[in-house]
Amino acid sequence: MTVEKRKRVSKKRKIAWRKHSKIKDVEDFLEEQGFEERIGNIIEQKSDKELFHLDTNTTEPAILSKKEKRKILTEKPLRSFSAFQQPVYLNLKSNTKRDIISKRLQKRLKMKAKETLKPSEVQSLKDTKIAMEKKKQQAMEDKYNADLWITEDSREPELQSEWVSNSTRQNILRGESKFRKILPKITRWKQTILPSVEPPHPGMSYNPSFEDHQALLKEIADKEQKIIKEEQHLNRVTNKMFRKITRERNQENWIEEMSQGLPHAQKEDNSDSEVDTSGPISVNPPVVNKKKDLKQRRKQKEQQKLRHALKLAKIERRKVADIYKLKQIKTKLVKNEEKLETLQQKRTVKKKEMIHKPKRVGPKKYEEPDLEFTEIKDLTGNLRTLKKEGNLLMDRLKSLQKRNIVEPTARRTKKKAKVKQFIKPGHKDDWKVTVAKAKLQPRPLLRNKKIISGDSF
Amino acid sequence: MVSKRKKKYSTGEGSQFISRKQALKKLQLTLNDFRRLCIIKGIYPREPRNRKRAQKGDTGIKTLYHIKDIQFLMHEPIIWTLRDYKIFNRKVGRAKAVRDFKTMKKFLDNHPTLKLDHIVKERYPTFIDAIRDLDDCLTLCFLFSTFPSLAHIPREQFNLCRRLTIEFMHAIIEAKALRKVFISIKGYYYQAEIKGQTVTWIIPHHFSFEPQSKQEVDFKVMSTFVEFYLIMLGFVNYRLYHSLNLFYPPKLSISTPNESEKALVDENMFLSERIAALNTPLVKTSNEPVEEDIEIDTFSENNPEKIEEARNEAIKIKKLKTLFKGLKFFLNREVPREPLVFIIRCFGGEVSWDKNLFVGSTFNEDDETITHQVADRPSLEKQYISRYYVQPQWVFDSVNAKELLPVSKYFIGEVLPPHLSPFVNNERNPFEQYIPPEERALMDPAFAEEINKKRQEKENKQVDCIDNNDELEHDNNEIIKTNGLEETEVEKLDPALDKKKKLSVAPGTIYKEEPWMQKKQERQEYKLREKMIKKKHRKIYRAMIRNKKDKAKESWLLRKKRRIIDESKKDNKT
Repeated sequence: MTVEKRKRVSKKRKIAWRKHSKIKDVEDFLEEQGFEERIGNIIEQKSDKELFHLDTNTTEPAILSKKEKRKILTEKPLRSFSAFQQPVYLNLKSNTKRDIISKRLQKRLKMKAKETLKPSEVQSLKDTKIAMEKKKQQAMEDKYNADLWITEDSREPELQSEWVSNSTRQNILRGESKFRKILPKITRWKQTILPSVEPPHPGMSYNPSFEDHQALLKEIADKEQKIIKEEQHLNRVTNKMFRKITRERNQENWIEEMSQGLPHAQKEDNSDSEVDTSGPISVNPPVVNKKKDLKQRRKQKEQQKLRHALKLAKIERRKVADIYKLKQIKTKLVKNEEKLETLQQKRTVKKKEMIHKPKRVGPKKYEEPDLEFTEIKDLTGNLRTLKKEGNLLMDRLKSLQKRNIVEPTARRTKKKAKVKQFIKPGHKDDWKVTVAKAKLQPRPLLRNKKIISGDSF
Repeated sequence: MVSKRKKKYSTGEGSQFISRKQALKKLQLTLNDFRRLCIIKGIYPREPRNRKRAQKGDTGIKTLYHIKDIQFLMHEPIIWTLRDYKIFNRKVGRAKAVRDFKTMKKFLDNHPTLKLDHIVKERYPTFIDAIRDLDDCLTLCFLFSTFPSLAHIPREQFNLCRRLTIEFMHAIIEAKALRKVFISIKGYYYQAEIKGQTVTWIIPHHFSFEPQSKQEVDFKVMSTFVEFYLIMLGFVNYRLYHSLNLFYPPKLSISTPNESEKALVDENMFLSERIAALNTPLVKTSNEPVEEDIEIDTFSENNPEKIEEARNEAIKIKKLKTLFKGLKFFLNREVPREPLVFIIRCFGGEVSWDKNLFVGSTFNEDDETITHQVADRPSLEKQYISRYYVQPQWVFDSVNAKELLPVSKYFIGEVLPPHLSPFVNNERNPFEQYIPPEERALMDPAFAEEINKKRQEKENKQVDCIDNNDELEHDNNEIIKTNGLEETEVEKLDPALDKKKKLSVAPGTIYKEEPWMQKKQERQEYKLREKMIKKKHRKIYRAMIRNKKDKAKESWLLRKKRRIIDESKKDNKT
């Protein structure tokens, strides 16, 4: 048999790939396998017992009359109630993974009981069994199985005595697993005094008294008014500050601005400017770097010294005069102190106010949520027809933000990257028509196409 | 030798703070892990005194943490678990990508778990500390217990929330610790007193879950809070149960519903079972009474009034604990069952409902021993004579008033009186602040009686056709009396009385200490003491008194206005 010389072909393109890859042996194999699967294994070799089985089950499905069927139907719940029914859990037998494993394990144990097992196999079987039981027990156990605030004491009784100081305790425990870093003082301090659940405004009752309801309404209205005022102010300060002009005028302005310095815009002025350029550029005489001579320098130094001496003399004179000004200075000092005191008072007042306000912990400022409120027309006065207001989850988040536990953030949505879509060159048209068929079709058709395209030109 | 130049921001505020990004780098954690760690450990961002200095010259606003906080976080062993999570995720992701499902399942079975017990202990060194911080925990857990299962949140968290909240409610029932309740449009507010600490929480109304369109709230963050709070609540429950001589975890014995009952259930099964569980008492470990009631000592302190007040309060609370004892309630089906069952059981009442509708009912509607039936519809077809038909608000208002209110105002079909908040400052002094008479009547029953008497008297007087002027004067006097400040003036107003006393000679009578004389004496002494106030405190004291007086005056004025309005109304009617 001669070995066919393997021809090296480039399979770069799809057509080449299709043409040169040999998959016949694979296909043959798959077909054979499929065939065997369909037929079953070689039948001739199987015994009758394997192929057939005797049906000894005599119970036939009961044939029911129409009446009997209806009777059964009446006992079932109505179909219209099916939405209300509880889902039926069919797998009453636990079919969890753990159970399956344990079943498999028992099977293996039974099978291997007769045979001799290797000691390692026996060990592995035992181990798996123990591990399974342990896991099962762990799942059954309750997480909360001890008094958290007592156990620690009972473990280290001698360390808990009052004679042992905190630092000693820490020192003894250092390097052990029980060692825990003590909370630093700064962490232990509570940062806010705001309550975690704020008491509700009495006007938020489902059946409020008129006064309370009005009080709440007033609070909300005041807040709203403040916002409106702020908005108006911003509008006045920004939008309304500028004059409005027509679109045409705006266009003109724009053109004028944009064509600044261009030759044709300054055509008329050109003749004038040409005349100007011939004369001097500046009115001032040109600067000359003229050096001072030695005499001038000496004089300048002397002047400087004199000025300094005079200044010192003046200070000395003032010192003497100040003795007579003591009263004035005193009043000045007192005034200054008073000023400082008032400032300090102001600061303390402000500090006190700030305690009840959320702090600024992040780039975004905390925004007070709207108060819950029901309009008078929605107040029914009974519990059955109560109209719910507000979102409790949102309320919780806002409370956490207010107490600076969570920093206020704006939820960011990820911008999806734009995926540029393009079609591969081989897929541009329906490739079956343009590429594959073109190869298969006889030439005349191609020629035909050419003609058609020629016609169109 | 020249000392080394000190670098900028190496001391003071510049060295005390660390930005979030720096903290991430220092702890080698991702942002999500860092957030989780901070929530669990209770480390929050801070606001520096001088931001520019704290940010080392940067003027923008950054999230800053105290450096000691971050150093403290570095010692936390659960950081290692968080890092393990990262590796675990990578491994699982890889196994999934190469479609090696066997190893993927193996990994998933041994996923790392966070153990938070020690953190609870660390953050709350004593049990009282934990209770003090229970408000947030309860509100969030109750809220999550009403949610359906959501993406990215472990399902067991919801189940655990349900379990622990119901256990907590049981503990409250057993301890009779509930004090105040309030129905707001947001939800039910409850306030309990546990170990001397007031705990307030909100339970949402039925069907509280609202799917959010814009994802305003990050469920993952909230779930981290819940994760920690669940551990905390579990241990608090454990301690509470043991202090009440109860088994923990409790076996909530719910009679399993039969087929017909199951077929009839139209509400969520868990909800009805949850409420049914509330209606059964728990098993006790021993019948020893839990020592609780503390007798108030009778020290002769300088302010006996306050002691008296405290004692009265204690008596009121003792009465409140057995408010509904011996009463039997039947709930109609339109009534929200969970809050009512909880409240009634808290104060020793017995509750039941239609056994055909929900599981766990204890007696039927035709039981003749039922004292109250709670209904929320204008009329009922079949009514028993032996019981009151009241609207649910009666239960809530009775609890807040700390006594059983007259039912007549709360009968079905009746227009209800307003449901007032018990959370408004209860230290409101009627002389310092104006309180509408209706509310004051609710707050103290003595005042209500007084009002009733007055009304009757007035009616009698009107029958007798006595001049209105007289009455006005009489009222005026009374108001001044109640104001308490101008008592001496009142005495001056009645000179005739004084004269008589001076003139009449009564030989042989035992010397009796006149109460008004004593008062006068006291007043004088008080004034003397006032004069002895140090110069340092004088100004603030005067301001205080002035404030008090102003408030009293305002309150008096408002009451006067009210009286005039009332009278004009009455005149219009007649």
